[in-house]
Amino acid sequence: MDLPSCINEISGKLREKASNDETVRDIVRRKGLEKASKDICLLLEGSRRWDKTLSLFKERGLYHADPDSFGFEFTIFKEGIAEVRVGFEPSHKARVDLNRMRVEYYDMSKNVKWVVKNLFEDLGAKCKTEVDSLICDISGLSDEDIVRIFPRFAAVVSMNVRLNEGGERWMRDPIAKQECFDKGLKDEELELCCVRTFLEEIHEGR
Amino acid sequence: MREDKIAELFSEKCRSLGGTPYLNEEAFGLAMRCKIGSYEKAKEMLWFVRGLEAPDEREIYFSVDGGDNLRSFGYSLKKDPKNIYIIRGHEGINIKLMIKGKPLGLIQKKFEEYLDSITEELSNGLRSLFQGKPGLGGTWRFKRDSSSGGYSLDIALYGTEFKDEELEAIFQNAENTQKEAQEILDNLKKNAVQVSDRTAILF
Repeated sequence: MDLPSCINEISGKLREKASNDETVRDIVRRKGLEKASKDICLLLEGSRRWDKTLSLFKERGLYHADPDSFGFEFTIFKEGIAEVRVGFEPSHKARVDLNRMRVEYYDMSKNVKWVVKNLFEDLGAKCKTEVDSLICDISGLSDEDIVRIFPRFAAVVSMNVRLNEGGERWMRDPIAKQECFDKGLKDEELELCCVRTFLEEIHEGR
Repeated sequence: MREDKIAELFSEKCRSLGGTPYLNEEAFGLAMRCKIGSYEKAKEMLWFVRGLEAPDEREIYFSVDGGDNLRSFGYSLKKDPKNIYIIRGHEGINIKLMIKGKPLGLIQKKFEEYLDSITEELSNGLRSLFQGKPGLGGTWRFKRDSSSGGYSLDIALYGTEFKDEELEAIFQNAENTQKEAQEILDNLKKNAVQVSDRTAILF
């Protein structure tokens, strides 16, 4: 990630927008031009890794449907917030807010939330599970670890289906088979192990 | 009626209206969706689904999607066939109503907070939609259910049955709200920069 050149480019864009947009002027006033630009750049890099990871999961047949037929998208808001599609329902999205330094993931499935919580906590996030959500404090994370949140969102897609299938889709992956199935892991632990292994194998979409 | 029979009837009806049916297991049960392009057809689909008999054991959830124009209506069948689940929205706004259905773990406080955070017009529209409806007071539940424009709403309520004419009124209101949603979305899109096929920045 070439952060300095991205910041330079986004700063120019924000400066230009601020001249005729009160909201942008307010953001720049509150956060400062550099911080506002940097947040957008981190989200951009996150989106790039999410995008690549999504494609790799798709190629490996780890989704039960094609995300590209369902308009999976990643939206970055000028305020330093990103919303990313994590499911096949149009409204199933997660949110990363770099102002509040938190991740919001909404789901009713306990087992999916357990896996996702562990994936975020691998990065140093502090997560709290609610009935319908998982809220994580990411204030202690480095820039690189913030960016590493996003490929994990690609792993969440179809996770409930994979869990229901008993991890069948992972059987085709030789490394996951060796690292996780051969250890006798099952259910959520198997899914977590397979996702960790696969993310490592694909260098987390870098 | 058996679940597979319901699925067959649903798929058949969906196709007859020019839609595409698909089935999926969700956390809350079997979801049957019908991707369909028009508001009127979506409504016809909902009316058809309302006439089906609920299965004995499973909850079956239906929704009718309008594709990019996300006009969705759904119907949730449990033992009580009066359960109705309506989703309506546009790309930027999703409104989900659930009556006597399975609550989604939503809480009123969050809903109120969210109403305060969205546009005044939209908030007023939603409040007026349910004002005076007996049995709805204090039953609001809210779940953050974000959508592409960042404005979204997911409301669940239960305890009251809607009659046909009341549902009609809700649809009418939904259409009006949709126009507002479209305006919000159009404004957002004016400032969107597409950085890849899947990613956009909203400046």
